[in-house]
Amino acid sequence: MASNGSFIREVALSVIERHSLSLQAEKRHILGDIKEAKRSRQRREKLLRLAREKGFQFCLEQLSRPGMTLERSPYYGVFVEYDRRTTLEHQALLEERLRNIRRDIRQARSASPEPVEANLRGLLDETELTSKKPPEVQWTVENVELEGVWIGDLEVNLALDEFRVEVWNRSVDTDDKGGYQHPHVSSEGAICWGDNETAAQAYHRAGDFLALKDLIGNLLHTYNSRSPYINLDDWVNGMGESCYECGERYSEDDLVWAEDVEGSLCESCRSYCQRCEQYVSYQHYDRDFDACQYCVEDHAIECGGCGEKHWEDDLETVEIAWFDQPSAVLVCKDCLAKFQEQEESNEDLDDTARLLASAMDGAANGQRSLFDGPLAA
Amino acid sequence: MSSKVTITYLNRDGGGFAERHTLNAGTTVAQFLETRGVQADNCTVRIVRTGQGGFTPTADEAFQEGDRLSCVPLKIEGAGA
Repeated sequence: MASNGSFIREVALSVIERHSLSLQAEKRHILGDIKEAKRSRQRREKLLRLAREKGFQFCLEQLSRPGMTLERSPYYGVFVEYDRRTTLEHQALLEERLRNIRRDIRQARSASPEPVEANLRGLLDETELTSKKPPEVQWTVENVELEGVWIGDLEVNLALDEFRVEVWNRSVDTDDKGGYQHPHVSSEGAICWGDNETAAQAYHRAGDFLALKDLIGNLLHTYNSRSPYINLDDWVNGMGESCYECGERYSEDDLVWAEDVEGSLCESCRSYCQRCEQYVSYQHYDRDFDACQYCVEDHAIECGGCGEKHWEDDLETVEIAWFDQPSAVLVCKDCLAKFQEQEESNEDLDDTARLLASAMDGAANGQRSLFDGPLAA
Repeated sequence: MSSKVTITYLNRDGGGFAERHTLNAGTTVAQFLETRGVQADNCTVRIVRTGQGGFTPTADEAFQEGDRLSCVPLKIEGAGA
């Protein structure tokens, strides 16, 4: 019991110190805002004075309205804008905040650790201490039901030295619920506080852990239909599985397993390859070939004539002279037609050459190479 | 015995910030909440008292010096999307 007492005192003192430091930081922030507001007001007063001196009636009229000032932009030039910081209301608000924070600092300085210790004692009565360093407690919010839908038992883990809360559903398998632990708890166990984060942090900062515990419990028992991670229908029926590519959730019937990504794909993210009869990700589908990349890589070859890729089945073998040696080359249909056309043309030229050669005395040798086709060049 | 007690009220409207109130000795929780316009039925009401920890008070519980009172609404809307 004695060691528990010293532990409580230690945590209480660290809470008070942390609270005091955060109040000091808040005070510095407010003082910075006050300085900035003063600069804005002085600048506006200077602009007003200049407008009066120079007789700029339009500027004077615009600047006379509360909060209005002049700004300059590289795109719009000089323009009139409302700047809240130049108003008396803003000044009064900042001064009030400064007064309050100074009062809070005074109170924190004179604060006894006893209220925080009482809070901690109450908290430890209602929760389980799971770690002393860093101090963490755990409790279960049992049988949570939202609008008739059973959500389950929720385990809450609260760190006392920093604002960290994790909630895990210990009753249901959340795989088909997108991993969400509760309609307002993410798959990482983080509560989405809505408008309540400021209050939750204030409770934690001041060591009002029991009020924070109440707030967490009440939040987990409340369903906000306007903004859940997962609505209650999906909680009951499941959100389905997510598409590997786009991450959207679909029912199992709308998804198809694809080996190439080792994941399920929705209709928009998949393509069917007629060649290998497999579904692949749209990213691995070649629209020019109307087949998957893998089939193209394995079964498409460059044409020896034009260099473009074609299915190997569509290529024809032709024999050409390569450095005076016959060589087999795979060519596409277009290149084959061109080759054959060229060959015929070469044969015609050969005939003409032979005719010319026979007409010339002893001049038939060495004519053939002049008429070789381009593929044999 | 002092005729006044000072309590700390965790004001939900003020974003969880604490307010100090000096009350007549014997002021009950119900009386105080009525002055604040808080309906106890809609809240989790709790007092943290030095040496006693936290407890849910009855409406006629009289405050003691140093009590810390919190009223957390039952409907606390979280969010998500």
